[in-house]
Amino acid sequence: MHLADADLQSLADGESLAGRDPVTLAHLASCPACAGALARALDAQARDAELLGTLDGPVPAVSPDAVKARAAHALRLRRARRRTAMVGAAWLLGAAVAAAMVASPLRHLAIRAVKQVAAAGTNRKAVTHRVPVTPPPPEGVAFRAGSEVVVSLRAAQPEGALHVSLVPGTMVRLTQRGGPAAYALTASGVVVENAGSTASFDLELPITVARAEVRVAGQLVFRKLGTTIVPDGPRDRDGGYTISLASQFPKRRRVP
Amino acid sequence: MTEDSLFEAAFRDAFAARFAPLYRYLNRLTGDPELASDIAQQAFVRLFERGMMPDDPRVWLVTVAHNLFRDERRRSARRRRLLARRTADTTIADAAPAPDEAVLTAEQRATARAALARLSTRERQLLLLRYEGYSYAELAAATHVEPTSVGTLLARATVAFRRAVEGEGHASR
Repeated sequence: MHLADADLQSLADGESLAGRDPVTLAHLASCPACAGALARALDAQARDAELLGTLDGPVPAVSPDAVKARAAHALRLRRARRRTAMVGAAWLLGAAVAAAMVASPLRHLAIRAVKQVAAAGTNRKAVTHRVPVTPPPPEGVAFRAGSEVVVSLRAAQPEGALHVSLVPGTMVRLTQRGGPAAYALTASGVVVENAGSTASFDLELPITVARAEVRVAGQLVFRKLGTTIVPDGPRDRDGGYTISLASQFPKRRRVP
Repeated sequence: MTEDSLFEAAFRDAFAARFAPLYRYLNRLTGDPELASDIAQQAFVRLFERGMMPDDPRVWLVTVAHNLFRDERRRSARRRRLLARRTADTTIADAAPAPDEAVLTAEQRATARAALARLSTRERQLLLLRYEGYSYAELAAATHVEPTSVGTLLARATVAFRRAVEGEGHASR
């Protein structure tokens, strides 16, 4: 049984074989193959050492004082970083404490800044998302009601609705959505030029007005006399009345 | 003598005895003289910052140097490639040799560098530290391997290096 490579390596490196030295050495003395392998290993070691020696260059001239200076510099850097971190943390803590105090001007400034940011965020949102779908502002008229109010829509419409609601106060407001219309105030009310329009209208009548009428193409569609309402149909959820303007529109007769 | 001055004296002694071997080992290991010098200095900076001498300064220094080298390789992929690419022109001899000798040395240097590059990092460390005179116990401590495995690993590294040298020698002919 010949020596293992690791044992030969250990012998070549001059290391002890952990208690097996006498046996190993005895084997070496009696085994020319292992003795030859060890001799080759030693020879190769010498060649390898020489080869590796070609990699060596001059050692840089560095003094221990230079290393100490480098250590001192590194220490200064670390201290500076730690100091900066501590100052930053103290500043943040101070700001947080000041902002938490009710009477602190910093709190006031912080709240104002937050509100401004929130408002800016809302505005941005409106600009980016809401502008394209926001309907145009309603158009219409408003006037103070007399004892009698007459609202007259000149024409019936193919579509659209009139929503009448009774509100506190003394103002009459008539607004339109979704189509054109023109208004002409009269002594007792307003005439609406709505021929060809498809608009819908919102009419607010003072609940205290004694007499009010709404006509579409000359036809009476709504009347208030005191507390009596005609038509006395079902009210909307908001307490108002919705009158279809399309129902006033003349239907074409079918040609048989 | 105060503790500081005792440490100062021990540090100077360690520097005088260990800086050059550590640099030589790192230069062989990395193939980059500047990097080797930087890591060797940095290892001594760490020793100075430690403020007391370790039980085995030789093993301690080389372990720190290994860690620094590993960190450096992680930081810089460029430096990793240096080991394979760096050739004979990276080191400068003390005196200008004769032209034939210079050519021969340059070839040997290139062969050694290329052969080392074929080994794993651990094989390189074991082999090169062994040629710096480290005992098996020191090799085990410095490379974090079991002491009983050092002989086997070193035998493999040696065989791998010789094969690589022979391969390089054939390739260069």
